Amino acid sequence: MAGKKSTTAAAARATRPEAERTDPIRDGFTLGGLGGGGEDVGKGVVEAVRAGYEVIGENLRQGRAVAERMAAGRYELSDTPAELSVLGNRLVALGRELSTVWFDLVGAVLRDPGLKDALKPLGATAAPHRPATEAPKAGPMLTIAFLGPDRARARPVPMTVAERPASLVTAGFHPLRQGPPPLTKVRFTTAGDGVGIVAIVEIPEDQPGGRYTGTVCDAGSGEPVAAVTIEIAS
Amino acid sequence: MNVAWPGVEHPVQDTAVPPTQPPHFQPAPDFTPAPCGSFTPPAVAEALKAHGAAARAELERFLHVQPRSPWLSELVADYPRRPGKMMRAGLCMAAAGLFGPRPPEAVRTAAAIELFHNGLLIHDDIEDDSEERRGLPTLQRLHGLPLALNAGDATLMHAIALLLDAVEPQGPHVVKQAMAATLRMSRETAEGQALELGWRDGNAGGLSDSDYLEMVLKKTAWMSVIWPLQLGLLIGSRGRADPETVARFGFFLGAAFQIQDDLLNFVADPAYGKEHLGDLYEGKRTLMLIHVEQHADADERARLRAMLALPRAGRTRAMVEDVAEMMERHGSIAHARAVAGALAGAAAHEHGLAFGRMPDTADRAFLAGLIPWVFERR
Repeated sequence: MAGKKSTTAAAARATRPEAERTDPIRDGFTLGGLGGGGEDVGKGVVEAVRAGYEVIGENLRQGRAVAERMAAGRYELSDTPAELSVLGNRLVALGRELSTVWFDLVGAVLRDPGLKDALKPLGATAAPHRPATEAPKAGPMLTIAFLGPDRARARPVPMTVAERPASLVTAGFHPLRQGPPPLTKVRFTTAGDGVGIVAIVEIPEDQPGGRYTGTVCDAGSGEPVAAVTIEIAS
Repeated sequence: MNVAWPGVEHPVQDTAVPPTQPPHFQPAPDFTPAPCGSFTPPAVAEALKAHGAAARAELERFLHVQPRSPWLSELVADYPRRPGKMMRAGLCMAAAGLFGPRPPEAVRTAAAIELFHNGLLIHDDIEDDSEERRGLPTLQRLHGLPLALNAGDATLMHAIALLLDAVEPQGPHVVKQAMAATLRMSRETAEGQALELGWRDGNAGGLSDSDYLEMVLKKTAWMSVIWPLQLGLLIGSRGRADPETVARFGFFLGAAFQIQDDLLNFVADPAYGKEHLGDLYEGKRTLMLIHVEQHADADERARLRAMLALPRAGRTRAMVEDVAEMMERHGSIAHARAVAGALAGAAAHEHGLAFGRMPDTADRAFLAGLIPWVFERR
């Protein structure tokens, strides 16, 4: 009896179904080795990353060039198609006319208290006033100048004025990549126009290329007043 | 020599810089799989949900207070109310939290980003003549092209208004930088979209992986990743951080995201929310299409070119499936997967460079966790 039961049980025993696949699923994440796939990097992958860096590098270079031109006021309408030039000139003329109207209006308001009162309520649809939340006090611009090889550049950045300004200090500008020494030879001076401050950063001849960052602080309070990014070409 | 702060009485002194040890540098994130086999930390999904819910609530509040306009208000509110992953809102919120407590302006900025994205989606669907968006008919299929186009314009304008409202409390220097970042993103996105449409409509051939990556940088990465990160960075640092710091990380993450999106188009999963093989019906120049054109034999290439020369309505199911099989046969899909993985590796490297010096917070971990999430999202 026991033997018959055993034979029946063996016949009815559940068996493992055939596996649908025998290889691991490798999606883009595990294929690259990032998620532990650990396979050798193929030529196509190397090319893809190289192409990626070239594409983003060129895009950022072009963006910086345009931004520098516009910041320096060298954006010219002659660079744009003729229709846009005409449109731009019309806008400039319109703006000029509107400014005249605006000054006339302000003059009229100043002369006529009744009109001033009439203009005062902005209507029920005006958005409720929201107080600024800890908006930093707008300060002078910090411009970065360089001594040494002409390979470095940095954007001017706005500074936050310390409550009781003392002096400016920085712990230097450190490389984002490990290895190169930080830029520590920095001194501050007022800008020629007396409006901003210039940080003069000495770049050694053999300073490796890359991006360097750091903060400028108010020595009195220790509060950071500006964050600086310096890019040194290789 | 002592120099004075402009406009203040106290002198600024030349300061000798004390040599200091560089602060602790955190290299690229280390990915280890969770017990369930997923490389995406569970906190990523939780943060996406929380950030998304906050931005969605802010967006809903904004839409609710807008004047009701017939044939417009409902259309503007349609896409934002459909389920989405809210990745852009999450990127902005996380970047805004990297510098300390997240400023209150972050959530409104995140809502503005999502609204802008929805405005572009309306236009994209019109340009691509898409049938579905997030599992439902596209706006132009529901209301016709003119009303949908108008709603797209209005949505973009609403988004700019909301963004201005969001960043205004931080002062004019932040407003100026946020607008500069937005203008740059708008220009790059328009150029990228023009490239993609031009290639499709002009039946472009002979494209390379670099061409594709340039298009993806402009069309996808700027709008979907770089810009949200930049706005978050500006808000969180109150205008002190350099927005360009995140461009490379944003590009590699965005490119991996787009390639994975293209790959998901081959999966017939209703949860994906887009038409199965819709990219082939539309003749989109994906990495797989570029690869298969380079590796197909003469007969196959002739069939491929013939299909691409047809208008969308002329491309039959049999033609599309033929090209899909061709891609599988020539390893085009495997190639795209490999490239996406490589770009994800570069994104992890750039994450270390961009955020390695920042405190080890949940927001920084979230941004790293988005790299595997790009591949594991469903």
